[in-house]
Amino acid sequence: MQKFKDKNYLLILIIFLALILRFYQLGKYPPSLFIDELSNGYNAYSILKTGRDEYGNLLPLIIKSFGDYNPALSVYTLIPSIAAFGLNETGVRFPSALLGTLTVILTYFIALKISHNQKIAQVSAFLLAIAPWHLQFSRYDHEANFMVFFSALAITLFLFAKKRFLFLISSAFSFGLAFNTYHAAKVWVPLFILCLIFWHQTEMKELKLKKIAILFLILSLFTLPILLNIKNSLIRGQSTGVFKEEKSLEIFFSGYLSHFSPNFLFINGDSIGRHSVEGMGELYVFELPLLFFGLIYLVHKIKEKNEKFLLTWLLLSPIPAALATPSPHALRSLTIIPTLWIISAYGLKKMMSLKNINLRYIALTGIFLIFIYNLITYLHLYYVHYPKIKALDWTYGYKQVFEFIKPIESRYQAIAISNYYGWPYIAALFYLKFDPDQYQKQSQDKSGFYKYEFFKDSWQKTKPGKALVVTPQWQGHPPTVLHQIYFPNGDMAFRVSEEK
Amino acid sequence: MRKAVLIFSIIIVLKQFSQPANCNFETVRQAIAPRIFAEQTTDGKTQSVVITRFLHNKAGIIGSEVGKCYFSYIDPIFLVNTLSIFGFFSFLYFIYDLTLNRAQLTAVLVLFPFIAFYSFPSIILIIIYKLFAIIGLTLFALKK
Repeated sequence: MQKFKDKNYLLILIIFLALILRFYQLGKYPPSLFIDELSNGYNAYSILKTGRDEYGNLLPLIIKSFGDYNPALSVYTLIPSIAAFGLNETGVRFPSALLGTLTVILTYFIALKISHNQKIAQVSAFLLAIAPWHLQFSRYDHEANFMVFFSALAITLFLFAKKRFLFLISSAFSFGLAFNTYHAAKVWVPLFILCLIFWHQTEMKELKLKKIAILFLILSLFTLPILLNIKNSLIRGQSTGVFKEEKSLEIFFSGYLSHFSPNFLFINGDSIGRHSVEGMGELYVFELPLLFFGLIYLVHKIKEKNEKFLLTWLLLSPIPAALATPSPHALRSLTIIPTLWIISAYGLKKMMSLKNINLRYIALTGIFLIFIYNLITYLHLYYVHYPKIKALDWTYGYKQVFEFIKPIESRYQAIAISNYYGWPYIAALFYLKFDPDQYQKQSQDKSGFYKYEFFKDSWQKTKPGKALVVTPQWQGHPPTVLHQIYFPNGDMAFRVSEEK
Repeated sequence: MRKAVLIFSIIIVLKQFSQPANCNFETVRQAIAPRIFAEQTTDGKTQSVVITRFLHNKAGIIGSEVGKCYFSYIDPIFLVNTLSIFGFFSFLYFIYDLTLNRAQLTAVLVLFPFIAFYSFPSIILIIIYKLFAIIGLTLFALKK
C-alpha cells in the first residue's frame, strides 16, 4: 500500500482536487436545479417508489420527460443517489459529480496508454480536474456527462485489453451504456467505435470470428431500446438537426469549425447560460500555447497508432454537435473530453524540453503566472458572479416558491402558478415530493394536478374558495401580496398573492 | 503538381473574402468602462476591494477584449470564408511548417493579426493571409 502511495501520490492529490472542485457546495452552485434536472430527479424518484416513470410506464427504456424522449439510463443512475440522499439537489447531482471525478481518473489511464509517459498522464488528469468545461457539466445532472464517462471507460478498457477478451467485452458493454445515455450518443458512439476499429485493425483481425460476433451482439443488444422506440427517439434530433435547414451542409461545416474557434475555446465559451461561466472560455487562456505546441508536436512526431487515434478523436468529437443547431455547443461536443487536455500535456512536455534554458524558464514562468490568475478568476466568476448573472437560466425561484407554499397549502382550495419560466408542474412535483402513484393516474394533463393549476398569460378562477397565485414580476396578480422571491442579483423572480 | 498548385492558388486568390469583425483598439477602449462597471457591480459591496481590483481591472479587461478581437481574425470560419477550404488547410500547413523549421518567425507571424487593430484597411490582412496560404500550398507541393 505504501509503495502504491509513493508511486501515485500525485494522482491521489489530483483525484482529491477533482473531488473538491466537483462536490464543494454541489447543491448551491449552480444556483438552482434546472427543469431537466428536476424532471430526471422526479422520474428517478417515481421509478424508485413505484417502478414507473411520471407517465406510469413500467421500467421505461426511454423517458418521455417534456416530449424529448431521452434514453433512460441516466435516470436509473440517479435512483441509488436519490435513495441515499433524498429528492434534493445533492441526490440529483451526486452521480454526475462522481462520474466527473471518475472521468479524471480514466483520463489518466487513457493518457498513460497513449503516451507511455506518467508525467503526461498526470498533467492531463490535472488539467481535466480543473477544466471549466468539464467542471461545468460535472456539477450539473446531464446525460452528456454520463455519455463522456461511459465512452472514456470503454476506451480505457479497450486500450488496456491487449488479448484479454473480458476487457473487450466490458468495453463493448460500456459503449452500449454510452449509447443509451444521450441523443448525441446515437451519432457519437458508432462513429467512435469505427474510429477505434480503424486504428486498431491489426488487433481486431487477430480476434476470432466468434469473439467478434459476441462483441457485435453485445453492441447490438444495446441498440434495442432506441430501435424499439425509433419514432420517439428521433423527435429531438429532428427538431434541432441541421437537415431541416436550407443550406444544411454549409451550416454543418461552419458549426463544426466553430468548435475550434479560439473565441469559443478561450474567451467567450458557450452562449447558453448553463453551459459556461460568463467571462470565461471553455478552456483557460494559459492552455493556448500548450495546445498549440502539443498539436504541432503530435502532428510532427506522430508514429504510434494511439496518438493518431487521439487526433482523430479530437477531429470527430464536434460532429454530433455540428449536426444540430445552435453551434458551437459545449454540451453536445463534450465528447472532446479528454483529448484537448492530453494534447495540452504533450505541449507542456515539449515546452519543458526547449533547448534554450532562458527561453524555457521565461515561457514556463509566464504560463504558471497566467495559470494562477486564470484559476483564481474562474473560481471567483463561478462562485460569486455566476449565481447572480445566470440564476434565470437555472429556473431559480421554484424551490423558494414551494418552500413558502408547502406549510400553508392546506388553507387554499387552488394554487395557480404561471408557467412563464417553463414547466412549473415538474418543479411542483419535485419540491413537494408529490406521491408518484397519485400523479401517474392523471399525468397526461399538464395543466394541473391536485390543487395546483398552471396558466399562461392570465389566471381565471375556476373553483370557489381561497387561492394562491404565483406570478413573475410583470404579470397581473391579486392585490394581496403575501411573499416575494428574488433572484440572487436582487431582481424579482416571483410574487405570491392571495385571491379571497 | 504545378498545375494543381496553380489552380488552387487561383481559387485562393479569387475567393471572395468575408469582412472581418469590426474590432480594433477603439472598440477595445470603448468596452473597458462598461465592463469594469458591470463586473464590479456584480461583485457587490460586500466583496473585498483587493479581490475586486485584482480580478476586475483595466489590464485584465484590455487583455480579454484584445484577445476577443485578435481571435476573431484567426477564427477558422473567417479563414475558410476568406481563403476557401484549400486555402485554410494550406494556411495551417504554412504555420505548421514555419513553427517546425523557423520557430522564431512564428513569433513574428502571431503579430500579423494586429494589423487589423490599427486603421489600416482590413484588405491588407486578407492579402497577407492569402499569400501565406499560397506559400503553404507551395511548401506542401515541394515536400510531396
